Amino acid sequence: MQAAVEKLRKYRDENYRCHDEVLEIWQKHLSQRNLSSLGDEKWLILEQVLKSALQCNQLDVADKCTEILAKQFKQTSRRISTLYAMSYEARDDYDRADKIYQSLSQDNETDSTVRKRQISILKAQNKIKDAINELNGYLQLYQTDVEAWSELCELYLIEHDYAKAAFCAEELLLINPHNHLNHERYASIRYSQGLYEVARSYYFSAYKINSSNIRTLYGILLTSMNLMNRNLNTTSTTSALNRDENLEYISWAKDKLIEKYKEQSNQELTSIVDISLQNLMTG
Amino acid sequence: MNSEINSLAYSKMFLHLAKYPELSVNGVLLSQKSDLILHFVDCVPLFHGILSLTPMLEISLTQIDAYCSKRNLIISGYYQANENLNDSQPNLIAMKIMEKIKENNPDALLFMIDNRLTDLDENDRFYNVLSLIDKSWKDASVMHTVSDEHAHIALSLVQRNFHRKLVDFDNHLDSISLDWRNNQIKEEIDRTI
Repeated sequence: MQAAVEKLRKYRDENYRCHDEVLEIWQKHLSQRNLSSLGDEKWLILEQVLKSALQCNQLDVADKCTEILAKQFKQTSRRISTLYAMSYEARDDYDRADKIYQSLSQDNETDSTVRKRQISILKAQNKIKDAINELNGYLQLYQTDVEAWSELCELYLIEHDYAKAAFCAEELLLINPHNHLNHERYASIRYSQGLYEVARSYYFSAYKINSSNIRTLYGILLTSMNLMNRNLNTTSTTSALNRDENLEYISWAKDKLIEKYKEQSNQELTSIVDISLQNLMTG
Repeated sequence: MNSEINSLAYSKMFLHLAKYPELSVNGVLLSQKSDLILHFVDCVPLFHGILSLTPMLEISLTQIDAYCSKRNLIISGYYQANENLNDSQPNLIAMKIMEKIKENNPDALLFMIDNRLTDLDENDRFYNVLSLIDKSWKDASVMHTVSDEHAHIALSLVQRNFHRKLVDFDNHLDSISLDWRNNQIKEEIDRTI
């Protein structure tokens, strides 16, 4: 039982997405036990299991958790009300869920969780444009909410609005300039727009922060190849210089990639990667 | 064009959905080159979450092409599950990737995952097959054959938690020691049949 509790705690603290595993742990090791020896952690576990159950559409498990939690805490608890609303969301009953959220936000306008849930209701109904509008409003109040910027970035990508997605990625870069994933995401958005030069410099900065990020090496290779091919038809001396520089980047990235695959991957896959890189270079 | 699918391709596609039930996912389906009908014999799960960024997609397709030419296979299908539970319509991303795949193989088919069908105790397939006819996507599911045992095999793999072991191309890029060919799943299916 101790091992199960510790595993759940780890998943909670590190925000793991493994809802089916949470449910499995619950049903195998905890649901039949008396958890009062755990003290207050019992309620955290119940809340965690409830949310996972909603994700996995195991509504009977979720209802049991809500029942126990509601007995312990008063109906006036904002956290419990939110959990009730989430249960309605899972049943596609968005009207009732939204009513609860509305009354919660009337009582306390600064509750960011409630506003986020309201936005997620829009998303669940596939009202992407409305969700984008609401999220933009939200971000005017909470300008450093990383999760929200990241979500807005994804919503723009669903809409294929790369320019606005890039803006969100820039905000994320400003908030957290030392996270290589922010650099890499920004580079990938710029690449998708065909802005290879910008993309390459951010793949490089991502690589500088974390040289084990394999996407950055592929990114440097692809951007350099595109930049070289783009200049192929001009014959000026600058483009010859440009060509040499790009070739240098390409062969550097390729060598690094093969080196890493030889170190970490199996032989067959390494040979597939080797062939694919050669195919890529011969166009 | 008539098509059929083997249990390996079918199961891997299903495991990909089971691994990321809350996200959009996509992947490609491979068939033998010389077949008169499209016989899907393998599947490579690609990405989960954001599908509209192109650089790693380009990398994945070149690697799969290299893998295919070794085995006399060809990319002849693409599958996609949208993030929204009720949305099984092809979107711009699906169209663009299909366009790319069709450059190499004009017969290629589009598999759109339909979440209303994912209860395999009730249904024998969890997707609709679409084919491009006169510039519009038409349902070609009636020309697609699924053997009765596939659903059973896929479900039993999920019950034994094989979806947690499935590696998609995103997982591979996170850690290249993970092999996107998923040989362990093929071995498991070969063992059980």
